[in-house]
Amino acid sequence: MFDITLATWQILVIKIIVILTVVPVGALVGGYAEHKVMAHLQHRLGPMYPGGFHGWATTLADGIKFLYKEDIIPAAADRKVFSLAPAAIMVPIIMTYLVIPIDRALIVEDLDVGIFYLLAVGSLSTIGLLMAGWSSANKYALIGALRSAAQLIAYELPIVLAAVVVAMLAGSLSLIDIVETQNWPFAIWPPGIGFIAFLLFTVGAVAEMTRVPFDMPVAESEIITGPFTEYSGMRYIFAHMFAEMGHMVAFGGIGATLFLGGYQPIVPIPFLDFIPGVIWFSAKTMFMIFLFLWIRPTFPRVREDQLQKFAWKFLIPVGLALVLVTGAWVLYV
Amino acid sequence: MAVDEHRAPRTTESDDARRLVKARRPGFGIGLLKGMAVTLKHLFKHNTVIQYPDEKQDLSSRTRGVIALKEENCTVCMLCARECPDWCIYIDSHKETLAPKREGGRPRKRNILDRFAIDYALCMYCGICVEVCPYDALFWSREFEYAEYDIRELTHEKEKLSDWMASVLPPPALEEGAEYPGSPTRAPEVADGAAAPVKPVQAEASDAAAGTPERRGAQAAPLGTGGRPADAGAPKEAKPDVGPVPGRQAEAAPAPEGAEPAAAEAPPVQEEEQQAAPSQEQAPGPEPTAEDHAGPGGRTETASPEVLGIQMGAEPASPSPRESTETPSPEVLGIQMGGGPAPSPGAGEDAVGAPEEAETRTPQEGPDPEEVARLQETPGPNVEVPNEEPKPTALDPTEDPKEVYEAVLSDQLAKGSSPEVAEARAKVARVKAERGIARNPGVATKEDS
Amino acid sequence: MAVIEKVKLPGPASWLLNWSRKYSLWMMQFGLACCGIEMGAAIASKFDIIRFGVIPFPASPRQADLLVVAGTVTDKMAAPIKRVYDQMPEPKYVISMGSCANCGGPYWDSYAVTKGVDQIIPVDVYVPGCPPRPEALLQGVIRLQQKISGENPSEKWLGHTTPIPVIPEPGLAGGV
Ligand code: SF4
Ligand code: SF4
Ligand code: SF4
Repeated sequence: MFDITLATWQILVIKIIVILTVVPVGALVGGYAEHKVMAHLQHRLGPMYPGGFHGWATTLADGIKFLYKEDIIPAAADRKVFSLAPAAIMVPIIMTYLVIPIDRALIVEDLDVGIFYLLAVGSLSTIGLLMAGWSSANKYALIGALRSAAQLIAYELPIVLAAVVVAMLAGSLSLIDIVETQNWPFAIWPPGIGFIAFLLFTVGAVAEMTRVPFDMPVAESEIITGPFTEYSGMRYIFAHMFAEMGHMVAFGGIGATLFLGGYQPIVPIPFLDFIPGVIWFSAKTMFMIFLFLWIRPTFPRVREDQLQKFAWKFLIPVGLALVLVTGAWVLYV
Repeated sequence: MAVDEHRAPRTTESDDARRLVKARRPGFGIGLLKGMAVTLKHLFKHNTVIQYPDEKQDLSSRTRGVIALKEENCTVCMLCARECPDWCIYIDSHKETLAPKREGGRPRKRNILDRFAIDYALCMYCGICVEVCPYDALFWSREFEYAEYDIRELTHEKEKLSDWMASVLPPPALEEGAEYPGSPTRAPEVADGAAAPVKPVQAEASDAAAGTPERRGAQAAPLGTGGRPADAGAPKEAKPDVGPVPGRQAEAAPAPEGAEPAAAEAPPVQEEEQQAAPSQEQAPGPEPTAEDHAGPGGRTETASPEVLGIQMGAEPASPSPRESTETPSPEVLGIQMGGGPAPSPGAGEDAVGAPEEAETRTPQEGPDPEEVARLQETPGPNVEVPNEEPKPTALDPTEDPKEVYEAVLSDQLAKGSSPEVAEARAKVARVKAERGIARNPGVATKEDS
Repeated sequence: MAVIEKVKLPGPASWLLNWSRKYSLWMMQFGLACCGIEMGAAIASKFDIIRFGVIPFPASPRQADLLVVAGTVTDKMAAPIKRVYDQMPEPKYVISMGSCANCGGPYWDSYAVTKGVDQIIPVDVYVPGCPPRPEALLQGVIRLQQKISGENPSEKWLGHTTPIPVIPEPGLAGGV
């Protein structure tokens, strides 16, 4: 298309800049969407005045304000770890964006082991949470950090099992291949199997993002804001707001890629091909995000023991059984 | 409970248990989906938000937003300041000696209001000041938007309080079937542009039953006043001016009324029971004797005749007390307690606004017409209701009211007041000019003058 | 922060800072008595305080900008309020809601009630009422936003010593 040849480092810089803009912008838009969707699900309006038109600038105002708000580091805190923790939370989330294919050619890096990379990187932010909780010198922060570590481990497994199912069906670990295999999205086609894997993934994703109903790590009525209790100003917005929203957008993209057919049309009808893949991908991502937002105001928070029980006694056995069934399907169908 | 069992004998504990078991049966996530459906439904429903600064709720006219002062009505009697539980009303006044009205008369003294301030930071919005003001100078307004940056600015002086007068609404219309206290035949005068309340349908009917269109005012008073516990529920407009003290009234009231009106349709025994019951159950009356005798809430206790007499505003009708085993219906209470027309508001022509509530009563339960006629001919002692209307001393107009109105209006507008406020102030000034009250005594340079 | 304290900000930057503070008031709820119910009503569906950008989510004072003290400040609760206020990062604002928080209200003579939360922390807006209507709290928020938009950000960081800016009253009806 364009006859421009760029040096490798130039391409790299461009990619980095793009990713570094996409994540905060996605987080801001996601935050706004969260306010509005949640409000309307609750018979409210959400922000109306910031920015004039339906409060479009509300998260922007949040962002600017938090950037210059006083930055407090508790006297007893472990200063270095405390300051590094937001980065340790944020970086893995940014890294997940690298392998999500937005279109056939629009991908930062097409790894052969895309799924593996996603899963590996996705669990990294636990370390950041633990760092934040430990270094805050605050008992609630520590409890929250431990809770989130336990929870992320417990709910990582259903996601892994769901991803295993997808990888088995696609016969590849590359995300591009996975999307290309989905003439029918996995959530629809191998009847039942894909859908159950999709549900497993959704539940696991909600828990990984520590969103209601699995937000025990930040349960404000019990442990204030969990690991972020002592964070204020810029660190808070990176550790919590951007991380949560970035996480949500990332999981929306992953869900769309793994189960909804990514940039492919939702049904294999030829004339739908005129819609560009970017639009298909965005629509599917938005659907996933809406699903996450929809769950939040609907359900009450579950208890910590229920949360663990649900993962270990229900989701993981179901996931294991699903892997067996998928194996049988792949072998004999 | 007994009734329930009678109606649905099969509702047993095991039934509940079964339902519980059914509810606890695993639903395989169907319940979760139902919950999601509920929230999704609300996504598409119209939301209920009142978008406050752009869109305002139509608050009730009785809303306790802020207390407005009708300055020209205030006689500086200090009742409000003394009754205020928070002591948050500040009143300053001075006395002025006025020339005698007629040659050779005694010079008169008047209290002039210098300062009237309410500290809204402290006020607990109990409304006692509004209730207690005998001259209808304080009103509830619906305004609530007066948050301030400095707590000292929350003490509002009489100028601001008078401004709020412009936003006072007339009291709400009477309920269907309600009756104006004391004047069932004619709607009370509506002052100050108050909206005319709905004329109750029942008024004519009860009037017909009573047969005496003119039974208002002093003559018929004893029927009702004695039984009403200190007019507690009565609106301020219906306040009898110097209402006869219930207890004293009861002693001196003419003999036979009380229960008599109901005799038309109720057999004596039943009437007796009805009579006994209210005195026991509903005796919040101010008389200590009543409480001593009846005790709180003894439903089956026997009421002593004196108690009945005092409560009913009559002498003991029957010497033999009976046990009341039956709960009287509210209507019956109505007859007993407020059977007669309540005293006229007394304010007569100057009554501010319409009465807010009145005794409800069905027509056939009205007082005995003969009784009323008799009473009108020979009113008992102690039933003179002072009918003098309270108003500031009227003097000769000092200025031309119209001129003053124009002057103040243009002055206020020039000062940047909103048209409503300017008009309200101008009206106040005009009223003062009409009545010859010096405007803003003492402070000649202030607004208004 | 230090930079803002020393350097004179250009107008647009001041405006942006004020604007962002104005519409991103994360609200720490301090409901203490009956007024707390009205505060809850102001947050809930019918009045929806989020419309103004007042976000009632933060549970930790570290993330809050606005402290709404709604209700009776007992002497026992005064210390926690002071502590929560101290834990909030600058710039921070306080709305005192109801007669009790303003100056004791019905408990003006009580042995156990602090006569006004402004005895322990600086208050920016006093909302009168007992309890104030939910809209009255919203009007208090509007007044606070007006105050914020008139602030000088570089002065703001020097603490609450700056004089209150004179902002024309919107008139009886309030409004933005
Ligand atoms: S409403 Fe109650 S507290 Fe307020 S000024 Fe009147 S009497 Fe005092
Ligand atoms: S407002 Fe009423 S009670 Fe108070 S001083 Fe005036 S007349 Fe008396
Ligand atoms: S101001 Fe009134 S409503 Fe508010 S807490 Fe105090 S007593 Fe309760």
